[in-house]
Amino acid sequence: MNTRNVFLMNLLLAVLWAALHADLSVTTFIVGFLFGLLLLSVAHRGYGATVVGVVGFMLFLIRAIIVSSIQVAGYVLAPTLRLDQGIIEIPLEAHSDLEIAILASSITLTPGTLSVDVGRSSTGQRVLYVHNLVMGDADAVRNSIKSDFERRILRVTRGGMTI
Amino acid sequence: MTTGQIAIIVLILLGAGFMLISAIGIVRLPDVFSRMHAAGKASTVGISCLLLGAGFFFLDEFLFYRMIVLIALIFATAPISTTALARAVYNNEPALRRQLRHDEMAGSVAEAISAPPADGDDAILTTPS
Repeated sequence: MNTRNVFLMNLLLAVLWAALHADLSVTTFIVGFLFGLLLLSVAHRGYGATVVGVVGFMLFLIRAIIVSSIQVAGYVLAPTLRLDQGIIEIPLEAHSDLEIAILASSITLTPGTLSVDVGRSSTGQRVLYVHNLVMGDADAVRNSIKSDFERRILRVTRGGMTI
Repeated sequence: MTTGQIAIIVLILLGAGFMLISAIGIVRLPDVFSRMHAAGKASTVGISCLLLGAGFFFLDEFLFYRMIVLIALIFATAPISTTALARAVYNNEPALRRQLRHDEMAGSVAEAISAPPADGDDAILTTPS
């Protein structure tokens, strides 16, 4: 069974759990979903890892957003503006549309970075162009985006997760 | 005042503060790209804090989940418009492009756009790189 089918099964178990309760509410549905998750991740080892990966990525993204909005707030409120704008090219290992869409959206959500376009480099590899408010060293930014965002997304979307 | 109320006050103040900072950013920052950073970003955090605060304040089960769904929807849709705007600005404002300190996109503009504009106004796309 692939991950999508297991997820549908999980939703089905949650509906079943909620239907068996007298008070039908979102909370019972969520509790049922969590129990189904527990059950299914015992049956399908990869599924639990995927869910852990998704939740981990969300927490990572929330943390990144909070940290960098404080940073951007600092730049905005500084007595003298010290901006250092630039666009860098990030060669993508992600190649499905879903992976690229998630990566570009999470880069845009993180303050200070903004994805501008997806294109192809001269060698034909897909690249993402990212605008930085305060750039510093181009290679350092590139590496941090690749190792933080892309690696985490690929870990979830491709199989073989070890978390 | 209970700790819950204090948490609500802190959330609402944080949200309003981030909104204020992004408004200041829109006024202070020099060009379209940097203003977009201020407008698109601080406001997502600001709105999230405000919605969470409202959810905790009313403490109604369905209202709270509605707030979570709203935050998720904002997070899913806000970056798309920001990216579309940034791309439009980049492709149509050569002057703005030249003032970037570092621009690795310069060589690829022609390939990045799938088709030149229909009205033959593609002079704007040839970058002096």
